[in-house]
Amino acid sequence: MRRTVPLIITFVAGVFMIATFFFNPDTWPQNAATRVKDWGLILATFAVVLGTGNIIRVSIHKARKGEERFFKIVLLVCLFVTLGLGLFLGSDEEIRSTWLNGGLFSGSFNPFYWIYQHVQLPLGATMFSLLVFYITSAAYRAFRIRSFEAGILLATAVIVMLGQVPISSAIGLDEVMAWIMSVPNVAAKRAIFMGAAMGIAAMSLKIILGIERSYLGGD
Amino acid sequence: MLALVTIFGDLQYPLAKLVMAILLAVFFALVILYTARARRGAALYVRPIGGLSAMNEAIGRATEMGKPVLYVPGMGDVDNIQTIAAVVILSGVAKLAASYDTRTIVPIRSPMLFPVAEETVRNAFVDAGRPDSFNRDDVRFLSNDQFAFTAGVTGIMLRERPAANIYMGAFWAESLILAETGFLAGAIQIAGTANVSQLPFFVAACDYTLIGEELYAASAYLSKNPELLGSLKASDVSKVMWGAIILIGTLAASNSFLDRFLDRAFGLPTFADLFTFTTGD
Repeated sequence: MRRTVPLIITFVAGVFMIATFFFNPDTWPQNAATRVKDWGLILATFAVVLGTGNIIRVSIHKARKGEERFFKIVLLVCLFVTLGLGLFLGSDEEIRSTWLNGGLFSGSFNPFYWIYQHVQLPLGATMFSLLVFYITSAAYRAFRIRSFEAGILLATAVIVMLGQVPISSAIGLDEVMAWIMSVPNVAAKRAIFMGAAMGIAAMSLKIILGIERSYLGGD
Repeated sequence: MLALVTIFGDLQYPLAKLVMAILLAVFFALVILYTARARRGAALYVRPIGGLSAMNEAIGRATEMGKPVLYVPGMGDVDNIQTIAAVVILSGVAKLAASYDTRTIVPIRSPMLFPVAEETVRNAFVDAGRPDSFNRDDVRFLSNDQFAFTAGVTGIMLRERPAANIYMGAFWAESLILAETGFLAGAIQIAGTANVSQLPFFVAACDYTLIGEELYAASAYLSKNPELLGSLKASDVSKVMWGAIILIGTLAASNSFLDRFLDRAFGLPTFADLFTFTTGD
C-alpha cells in the first residue's frame, strides 16, 4: 500500500499532464493543467516552512551537542531577526502600514530591506565573483597540451578568445570565431540536447509506468 | 504564425504537436517493447559509460580512507526532471555506501526536495540492512539561495574532506566553484548534468562527467535491473531512428532533386505532398 498509492497517483497525474499538452489552448484539460501547476506553487510555499523548521531543528541539535555552537547560534539569531523584521515591517524600501505594526513606523527606513540590499546581495555577488579565479585554475588544467584533443581544444579556445577583441577583424579571426560558434559548437550542443530530450522522455515514461521506482526505496 | 495541418477531412491541428505526438507514441512503444523483452529474459547489450563504472571505485575509495561521500543532487527543485534523475541515482549511491558502512552527506538547496532526499537515503540504508547507521544530520538543507548553498557545500568539502564528490542534476554558475573546490580538496569527482552550458566546467574539473542523457541512464546501469536496461535500449534504438530521419529529412529538404528522386524511385510522396499546409494565427 505504501508503494502502490504513490505509483497510482504518479501514473494518473503523469498521463493527464502529457495528454493536456496535445489539447488546444482554452480547453478544459489545458485549464485544469494550469490549475494543477498552481497547486505546485502552493505546495512549494508550505515546503519553505518545512525547510525553515528543519534548519532550526538541525542547528539547535548541533548547538546542544557543542558542534560549531557559535556558528549555529549566529545562524539562528540571523534567521529569527530577519524573519521577524520581514514579517513585522514588510519587504518594501520604506515601511508601509501593516496589520502587525499598525502604521507605527510607516514611511521610515526599513531594516529588512537594508539587510537584503547590503548583506545578502553583496554576499551572493562575492561568491559569484570568486568564479573568475576558479575559471583561471580550471582553464589552466584543461588547456595543458597532454594529448592531440587537448591541443585542438587549446587552438580553438585561442581563436575564440582572440575573435572577441576588435583587432581580430583585421586578420579575419572574427569570422573564424563566428563559424566555430555557429557550426561545430551548435552541432555538438544540439546533439547533446536531443540525447537529453530522449533521456527525459524515457525517464518520465519509466516513472509514470512505475518501471523506475527506486526513489521509493524497498526494491 | 502557426503551421496547421489538415487531418481527417477538414479538422486543422498544429503540425508541431501532431509530429510530436507521433514521435512520442513510437518512442513509448519502443520503451514498452524492449522492457517486455527484458522481462522475458532477453540479453540486452547497452554501451558502457565510464563515469558510472567509476561510481563503485569512488565509493570504495571513500570507504578505504574512512571518509564520507558527498552527493549534491543539483540546484533544481523536485519539478525538474534532472533533480528526479539525481534522486534516483542518490538511491543507488547511498545504498552502495551504506553496504560499506560509509556516510553519504547530501546537502539540499530546495526545501521541497529535502524530505524526498531524506526518505531516499533512509530507504537506502534500510535496503542495505543498516537502518541504524542512518544519520539524519547527513541530509542537510543548507539554503534556498544559490550562492549561500554553494558556500555551504564548499564549507563541507573543506571541513569534512569527503573522499568522493558526486554532483548529479541541474547546475548553473556554481558548478565550477563546487568542482574546483572539490579538486583542491583532493576528492575523486564524478559529475552529471544536462545543462549544456555547465558541461565544460565539469569536464575540466572532474575526473568523470556524465553528459546529457547519460544522467538519465545512470539508474539503469547502477541497478542492473533488466526492465530499466530495456528502456535504455529503447532510447538508444530511438536515437538511431531519429538520426536517420533527421539525415534523410535534411538531405531531402536541402535538395529538391533528392525529394523528386525518392518520389519517382520508391513512390514516396514529396515533402510538399506529404502534408497539406495552411497557416493560421
